[in-house]
Amino acid sequence: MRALTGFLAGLFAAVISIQALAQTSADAGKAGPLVFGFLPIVSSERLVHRFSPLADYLSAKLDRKIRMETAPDFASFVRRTDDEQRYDILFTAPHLYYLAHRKSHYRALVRVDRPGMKAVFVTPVASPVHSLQDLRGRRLATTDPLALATVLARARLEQAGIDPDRDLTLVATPSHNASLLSCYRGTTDAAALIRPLYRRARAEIRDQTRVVAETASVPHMPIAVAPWIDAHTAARLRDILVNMSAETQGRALLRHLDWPGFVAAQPGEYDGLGTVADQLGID
Amino acid sequence: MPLSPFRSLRVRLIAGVVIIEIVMVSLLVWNNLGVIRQAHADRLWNTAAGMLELVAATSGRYLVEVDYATLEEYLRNIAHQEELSYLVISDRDERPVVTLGQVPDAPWPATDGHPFEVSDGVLDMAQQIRIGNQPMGQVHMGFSLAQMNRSIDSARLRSIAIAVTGIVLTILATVFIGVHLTRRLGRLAAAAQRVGAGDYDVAVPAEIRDEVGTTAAAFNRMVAEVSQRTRHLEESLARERVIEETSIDGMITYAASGQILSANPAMHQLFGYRQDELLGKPASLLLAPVSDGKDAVAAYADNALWTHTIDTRIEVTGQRRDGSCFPLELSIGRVDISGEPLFAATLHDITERKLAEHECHSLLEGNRFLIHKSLAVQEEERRHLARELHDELGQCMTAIQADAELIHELSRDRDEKITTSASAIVSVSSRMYDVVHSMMQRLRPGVLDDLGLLAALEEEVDAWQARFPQVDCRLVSEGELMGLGERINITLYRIVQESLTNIAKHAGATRVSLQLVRQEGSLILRVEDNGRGMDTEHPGRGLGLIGMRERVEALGGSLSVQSAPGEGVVLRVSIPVTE
Repeated sequence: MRALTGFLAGLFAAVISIQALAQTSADAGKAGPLVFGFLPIVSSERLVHRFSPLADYLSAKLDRKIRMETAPDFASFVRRTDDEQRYDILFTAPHLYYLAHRKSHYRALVRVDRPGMKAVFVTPVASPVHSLQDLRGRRLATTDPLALATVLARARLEQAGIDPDRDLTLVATPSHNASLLSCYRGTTDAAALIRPLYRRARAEIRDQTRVVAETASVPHMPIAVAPWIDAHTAARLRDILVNMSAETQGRALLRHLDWPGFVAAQPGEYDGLGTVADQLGID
Repeated sequence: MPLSPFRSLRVRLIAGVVIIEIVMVSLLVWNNLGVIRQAHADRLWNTAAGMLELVAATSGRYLVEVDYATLEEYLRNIAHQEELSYLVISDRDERPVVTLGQVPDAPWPATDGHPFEVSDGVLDMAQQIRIGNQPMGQVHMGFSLAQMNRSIDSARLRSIAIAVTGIVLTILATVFIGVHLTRRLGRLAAAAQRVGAGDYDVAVPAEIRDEVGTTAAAFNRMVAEVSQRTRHLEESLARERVIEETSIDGMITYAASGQILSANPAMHQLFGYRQDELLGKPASLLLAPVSDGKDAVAAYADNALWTHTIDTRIEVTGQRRDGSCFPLELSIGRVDISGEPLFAATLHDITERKLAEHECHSLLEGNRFLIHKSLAVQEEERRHLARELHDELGQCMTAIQADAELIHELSRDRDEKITTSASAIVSVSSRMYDVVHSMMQRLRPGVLDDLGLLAALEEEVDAWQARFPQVDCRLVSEGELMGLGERINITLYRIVQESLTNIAKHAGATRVSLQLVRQEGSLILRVEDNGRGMDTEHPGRGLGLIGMRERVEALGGSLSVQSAPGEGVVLRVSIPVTE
């Protein structure tokens, strides 16, 4: 039995190695543009506005055409990532990267140089909700079910002994801003959204709302490459991204992105997201 | 005479209106077709441009999301335009990702700027799809012009049908109205022809009060007015003809060139020319050629006399056909007819008047001679009488006075009665002598013969001053006054004497000035007073002034009186003297 297990493990390793080698060979033979897939965290127009300079910057530095793409929704993006293996470069949520890495062997090169990402529970200032327990029987606005904020919120609710599918009503909205606005306008009783987006909300909205609870923190969003991208290209990409803050054009671009910079992703840095990723039910 | 169809007002009116209508409707149709074509083209262009803009603006997100199925569904929902021939969305690699309709063969046809520039029947348009400044792909669209062309053809057929209908209706209306109008105008024309032929008993109906009716009424009034004026003109011409033919004065009319245009029968009697002989001849033919320097009218014996001596009467010398001359009084008038001057002259034979004037002048001269003669005789008689009074009666009075004084001396202290009688005789004889002396002075001042004119005048003035001491009377003289001659002396003396007498009788003056000056061959006497004056236009009936004038004119001199009521009198006498 042990021998069989060892044989299977070796066979699996060999298959992976052969597949990786084949993919590397295929990548080496690619002359077309690299497809840079962006998770549709905001509308397509805003996504292009915010991230097309990053794609252009990398294209110029890498001396290779990079084409920005996104998807109509999170599910499509995950399917294209994991099933269709459409993207050469990937900018996605931490838990979705975990899935891409696990299923399609995407490798994180860098992540946003911030301590971590967490979701917050927000209610209007005058709301009777003062704790997670007060959310029972109420409506909680969240974005796409696959979104990080949603899964972190669900995990935090379950941690507090609240069943998000029974004890309260989750109301899906198109975006984080839509969730916050629904709470602000009283359409829902509370909203769960990523903290950086809450921090960038209009001051009048933040003044009229308050944070009830926070979720656990997870590593910030990574930029990963497909397994068929050769090591040299991947290393150049990582170096370019890490060193952006060291040059004028890079700093300007970081200011546009509202990020301090990128740091190299550490091996196993996103392994802790296995639990929340598994809750998505995507295999 | 029947009118040519092409000169008929009716035909020209109808033909003109129809031609104008055809031209105007054709232009209108042509313009409308242009407008319709432009409107259809603009509509298609605006529709195509709007749809292209809409697709380009909304397709970007689908391209960046690589959601081509949704994009195709979206495009099928909005691309309902029947004229849309094809719609293709290409990605950033120019690969068609959504295709609707009949896609043209590669390469893409060149885009058209306007439907009018289309040559293949399809309006091809293209636009880049962007999000912000990022190109996401391209949209190609084609719109068929077939429907637009069908609409234009339909509109063209409708316009032409409407135009043809309008032209036909216009022709019918024009013919109807033209015939109606020109029928009444024809009546007017016929009536005008009758009037032109001299028939004034014509009237056209004017019951309808439109333009033609108003014209007909005006025509009737005009015919009545012309008829009346023609009648008056004929009467006037008849009167003038009678006057011309019966006049004893010659009458001619002539042009500015002097050419005679007409002559009345009297011209034949006056000049001996027949009337037809005078026509066309120069008017100067009727005047005698005047010898140089002997007749002031000579200078006018040409055309200038006949054209420049207007509205005045002048005396000229006429010449008959036989060459004999006779005096004429010529009167010329001018009238401008249609800008051309026409002259009319009346020639009056003044032979008898001239003879009468000559006889009158002779009588006047004789009368004046008799007056002068009588004055001379009167003066001579006065002088003779004065001399007789001085020589005979004066001597007798002196002798009587001397004897009476002797008797008075001898009878003194003897017989008082004789002495008294002698004194009375002395006194009476003395007064008688004064009276006689005064008579002699008035008849003939002796001082005039003894001491000359100036002394006589001074004595006369002194005597007058003595009688009228309230009047300041002064005599001033200049120049040599001796040796002027008996006639001049007595004439001036009598004028001064008469003037002072008149001033004393009528003037009521307070100042009298007499000035006698000899200068440059003439002797000037000026008598001026500041009295009440006189009206020189209506002098009195006295013979004083007449006598003075006769005396002066007998010496070849002149006498003038200047005066006005309240402004005194100035009498001025000028007599020529030989140096």
